[in-house]
Amino acid sequence: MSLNQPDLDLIADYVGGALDGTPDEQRVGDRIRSDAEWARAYADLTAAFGAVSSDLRAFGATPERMPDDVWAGLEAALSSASTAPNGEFASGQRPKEPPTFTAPRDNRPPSRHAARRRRWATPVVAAIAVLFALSLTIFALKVPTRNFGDSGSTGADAPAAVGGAPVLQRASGRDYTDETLVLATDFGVAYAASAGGRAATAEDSAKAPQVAPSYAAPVPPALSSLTIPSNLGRCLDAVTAIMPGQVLGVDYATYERTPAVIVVVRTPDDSRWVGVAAADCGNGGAHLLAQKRLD
Amino acid sequence: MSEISDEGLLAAHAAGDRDAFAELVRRHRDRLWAVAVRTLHDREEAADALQDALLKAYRSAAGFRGEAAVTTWLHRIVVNACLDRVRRRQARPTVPLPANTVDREGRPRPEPASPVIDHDTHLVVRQALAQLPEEQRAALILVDVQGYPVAEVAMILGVAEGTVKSRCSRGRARLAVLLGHLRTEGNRADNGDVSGVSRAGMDQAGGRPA
Repeated sequence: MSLNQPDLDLIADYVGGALDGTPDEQRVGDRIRSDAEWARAYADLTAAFGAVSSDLRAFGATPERMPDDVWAGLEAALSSASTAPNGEFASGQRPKEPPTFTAPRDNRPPSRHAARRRRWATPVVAAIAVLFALSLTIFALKVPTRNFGDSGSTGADAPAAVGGAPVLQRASGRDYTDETLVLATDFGVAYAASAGGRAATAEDSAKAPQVAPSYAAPVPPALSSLTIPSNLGRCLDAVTAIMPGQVLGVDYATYERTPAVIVVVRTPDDSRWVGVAAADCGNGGAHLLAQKRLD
Repeated sequence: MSEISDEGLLAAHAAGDRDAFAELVRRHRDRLWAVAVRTLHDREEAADALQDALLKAYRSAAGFRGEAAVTTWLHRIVVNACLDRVRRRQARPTVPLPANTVDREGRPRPEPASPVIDHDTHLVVRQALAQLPEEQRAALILVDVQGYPVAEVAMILGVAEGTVKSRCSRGRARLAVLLGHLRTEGNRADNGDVSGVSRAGMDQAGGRPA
């Protein structure tokens, strides 16, 4: 700690009690008592804190009541969830299907974001369809099918898997958006190829074929820890707690410029979902930035 | 259901009572909404974040172990949903503390200033809060605006109490500059970058620069 000049962050911590019981508390206190500049900064900050707290209390004293339309949408969403086939909490089991947010949101006036999206969604979807068809062919050719064991993985480094099923890993270098998440589903083709050109089955899971990571681009540094199988496993556990199903693959990419793990899940009803998990996925939850049903 | 505790409602929900969770949310809806809308500063985003968070809570209720109060648990889910959204839209520029301002001897120091006298303090405060790093903002909203104890906020945010105090303290220091309670030689001379937001807010609200 440098004590050559008033350190406002440090003095702020001192004033706010963040240094209580730490060695810095004594050191900063001594400096305030012995240095006029520090004493003045301390006095100024103390006075300013009182004024700021007063402003914030006044701000908080104004009620922020939930608007009726927001409450109506929320009630509808909860009602929809309660009538969904996955509402069986009595047994303590988690839902069998991913959450469906579409219907509840329709009960609210469309947001300006939604209105914006609709204006250009149609041409974008058409473009995506073309890209998707192209990417299916390319990716099916690129993904290696060798076993993880071939790369010298040990038990501790076992590839992430959910329920013993294989999890394809790659770094596509893509910056996904809500509209382009569909591109992540070329995992499904790759997996189908690795499983003999057909959809995944329980038998496939039992065989648990492993597919080596395919890094066409660098893994974003923020996601590097998630390439460790045990960390990725915790992340996928958290994701599948929200989106129950079989994880087909993950893409270490970005979502709207934020580093994110794109997780493709096939649900028991054979629909595909994409979950976008933040870099701290698996650390106290999935930390999903977005999720989307694709079919 | 009004006589049933929050924990009882959550247990009833977990046991299959279809109305229990909605009743639980109804009890706390305004507080949860206030946290969401004050953190995100956007009504639509707040509505989306709250809906996502409460549906998540609805579905994960069976996993509630009672380590914290139900309201703390709900707030934690809502705050995390809000912070996820803040991070997604890339945090707005933040205002550093005036560490490089100098006095007559060329030594850095802050100076006190007259408090903001403004006809719409709320607008100024809202704008200033929006300039803070999201973690400082969330801590200040929960502690200073919503009035939750530091210990509870530590549980909501999943950090140590000392971390909450530090985030609040440093956030207050930045707000002190933004709100004109703490000025520097630099921004007194030209009302420069540090006080720019505060000035903009006051100009819009018809207030006077400090």
